[in-house]
Amino acid sequence: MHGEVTVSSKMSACTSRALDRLPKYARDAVLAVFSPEHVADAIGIMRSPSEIMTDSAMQRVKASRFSFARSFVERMHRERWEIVRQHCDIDENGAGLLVYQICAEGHTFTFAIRSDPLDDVQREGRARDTSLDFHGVIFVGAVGMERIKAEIPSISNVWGGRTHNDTIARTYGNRSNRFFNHAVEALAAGRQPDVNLLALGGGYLIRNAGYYGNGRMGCRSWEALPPDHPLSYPFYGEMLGLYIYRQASFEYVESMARCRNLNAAELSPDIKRYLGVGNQSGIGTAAALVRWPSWVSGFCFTRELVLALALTAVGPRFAGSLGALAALLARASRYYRECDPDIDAAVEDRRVIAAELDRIHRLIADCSFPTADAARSPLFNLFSAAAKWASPETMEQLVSLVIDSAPPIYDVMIPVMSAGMRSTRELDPSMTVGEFLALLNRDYDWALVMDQSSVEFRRYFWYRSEENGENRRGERAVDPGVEFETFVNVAGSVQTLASNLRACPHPEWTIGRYLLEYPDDAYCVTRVQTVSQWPYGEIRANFIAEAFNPSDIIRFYMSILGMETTNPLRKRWIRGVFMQGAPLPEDLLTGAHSDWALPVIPDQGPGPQLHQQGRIATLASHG
Amino acid sequence: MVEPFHMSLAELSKIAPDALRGVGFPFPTVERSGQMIVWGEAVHHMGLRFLNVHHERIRASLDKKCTVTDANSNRVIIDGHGKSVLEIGPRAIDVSSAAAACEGVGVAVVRNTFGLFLLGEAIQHAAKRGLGIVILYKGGASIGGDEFDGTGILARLPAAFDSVSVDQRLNVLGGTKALDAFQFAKSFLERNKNDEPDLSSFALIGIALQSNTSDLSIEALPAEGEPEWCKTTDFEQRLREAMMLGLSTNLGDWDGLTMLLHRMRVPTSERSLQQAG
Repeated sequence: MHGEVTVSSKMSACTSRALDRLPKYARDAVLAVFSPEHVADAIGIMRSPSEIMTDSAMQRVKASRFSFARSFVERMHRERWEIVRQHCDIDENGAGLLVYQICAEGHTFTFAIRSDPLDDVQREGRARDTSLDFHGVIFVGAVGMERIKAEIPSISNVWGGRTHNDTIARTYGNRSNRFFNHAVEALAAGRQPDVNLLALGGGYLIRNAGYYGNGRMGCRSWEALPPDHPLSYPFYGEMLGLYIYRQASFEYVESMARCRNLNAAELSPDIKRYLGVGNQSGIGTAAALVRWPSWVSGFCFTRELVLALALTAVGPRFAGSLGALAALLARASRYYRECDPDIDAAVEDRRVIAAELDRIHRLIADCSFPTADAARSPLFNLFSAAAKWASPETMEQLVSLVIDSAPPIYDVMIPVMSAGMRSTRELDPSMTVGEFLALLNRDYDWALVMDQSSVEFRRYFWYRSEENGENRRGERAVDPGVEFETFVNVAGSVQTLASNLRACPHPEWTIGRYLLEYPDDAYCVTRVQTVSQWPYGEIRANFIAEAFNPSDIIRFYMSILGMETTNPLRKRWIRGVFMQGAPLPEDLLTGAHSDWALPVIPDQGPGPQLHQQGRIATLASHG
Repeated sequence: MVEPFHMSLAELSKIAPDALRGVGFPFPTVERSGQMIVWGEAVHHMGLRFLNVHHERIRASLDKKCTVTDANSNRVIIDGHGKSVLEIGPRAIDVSSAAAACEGVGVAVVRNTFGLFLLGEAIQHAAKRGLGIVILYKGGASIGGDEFDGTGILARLPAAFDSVSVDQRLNVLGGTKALDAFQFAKSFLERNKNDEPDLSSFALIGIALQSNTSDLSIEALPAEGEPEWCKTTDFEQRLREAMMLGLSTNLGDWDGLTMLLHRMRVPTSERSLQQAG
């Protein structure tokens, strides 16, 4: 480690200028570990916001160790969380109650899931649905059965139920019927389910159908938990929900099989590890991201800086990076090859990604990549070589694998990302109109030139639905509700602001004085000032244009959360899987299976093999 | 009988801006004004009540524009034209804060406004900017005269304020009757700029002061009613408690809030369902 560093007076002006580009929240943490020269070098090669913050670029981002699901599981694993099934009463139809108690880092919480008899309806898990297979609730602390049962009417009332301060969230799930049923039937017959078939179904048995926490329905928000509480971190409640639903999916199929046959098989640990938990998310997540520029910055800036630090790293600390990357490339290539190839045409063919990852792997194995810049690290030269021919999606997967293979850098930067995400917007009223206009022109050139003059560039508006307030997208010329348009049009707001500022006859006025005349500019002024401190905070897209594809942004969001192999559906949905390969509760206790992402299908030995070179031969006989 | 209702602070923080849009606020102002509603509920248990009682009055003033009737480098006098503190409060604090940052002291005098109890939120905002602040306000029939508008002083004073220790300064404030606060304001302005405004009919004065300290608690000094009318309220502590324990309101006020919230939701239709994601 570099140790304590004081930025010395001997530092070159060039290095000093580069370091000035570091946001305040990141500067101390980064310079405490890396030399100023290394950081300055990294900043110099960082990809620019114009390169990576467009909708088309963001949709390609892949999950990495920075993603919440990964960092959450890593924390569970590192801190040896204890997850104990406390109660399991599930009948052969799937009706029942399942309760887990979780002891983690000196805190205890309880997770209960209930279900009615499972029918044959395949539930999609849309935000407006009120009929769901599994109803879950997370309590703070250890609670008794009486409290759990008292909460059941509330969680069964999906959009109407209220709760108390002793719950953190309610969360729902649906079966992936065909594959869930296949697992139950196979286990009841005393054998393992066909893992190749399960892989075809996305690699999960239960799909999460919503998480309602952060204070909703009266529950306690994660910010209200003590700072040392393991769920006092953005999205960790959601991640716990996903992890427990994954575990519950195993308990359900095993219990239902056992009800049918006392000698039923149990799922093999290898198959359990291979299976994740499904999820699908809609356009509301895209609208949410627009409102959180500092959150987007916290993730994107940190990710880009880590990539740059890894590519510019030299010395013994990083000597193993290339070898570690090679191992990850081999596994990732196989993972893509084994995924369902039948995906939306807008997404890069997974077989192409697999082949290109293989090619990069071979470059390392053969040491055959060109050294275009001898002064740079081998990793830098490899990355540069691949960029010349690999598809953009392959390159983003490579970025994630580079990050994953650089643990010394990753470890340092996790708190930096968290600091970025916890920030709040604050207006600086003392800046003059002239100073502010210069800031606007510097940081929002992309928005100021965005054409919003014609119909196709303003075709849509976003609104909240009557059913439950979820975000939807309507046609401006057709649908009612334009007067209650949800804020997504950053470029339009910035253009209006710029126009007002230029019309202001007093460039010497403070922003505080200006806002007395233009109070409706307050939000946008605050946002611009915030983003000036938080690079990589704005999504450079026209959310209201005809050409805008919401699923691009949902894919990005899901990758931040940790979803693998995101697959768009009808531009408004993304479906995929979380925590595939993650360690099981028993692994958390022993510290086993720490390297788990992008798992390959476990070998089941001789038996029916449905996959043939990544293709499904026949499924008809496996209903 | 009032039916109690539990909600969380985070929940109200999410809902309040949308409810204000339901009142008619434009989007760009609801984030900041929503924070005031949350603060009013968490600290004084009156945020929702205020909105439910006054939403029509607030709505009626939305189309009006506040005007600056007098201004110099560190002082503005604003006619709020009946707008609530939800709208005009943040702007008044911003303009006085900006002047304080540039000139050392900044003063905003606002006339013709209501909802003065919400101004405590502005103190916390100023504190985040490293400023001390004194807010003097005068309620009364002409500007509202209901349970939300008393007369008094809200203060968060910088330690080095005017060479007088904080205890002494608060003692001075605490030892006066409410209307003496106006004398304090006058003398304050005289000492600082020697160009006092006409204070005879002000609704509120926010005076922001440059400060390099942040070690002072926030003091609220309600003006009338009790023998010991000077009391201290730790706003931060109340917010922390509200965050930890949630908020207790009543079902009627909650229903009023959700009624406003639903105003901005678009009625369902087959087309709308097709647009869902």
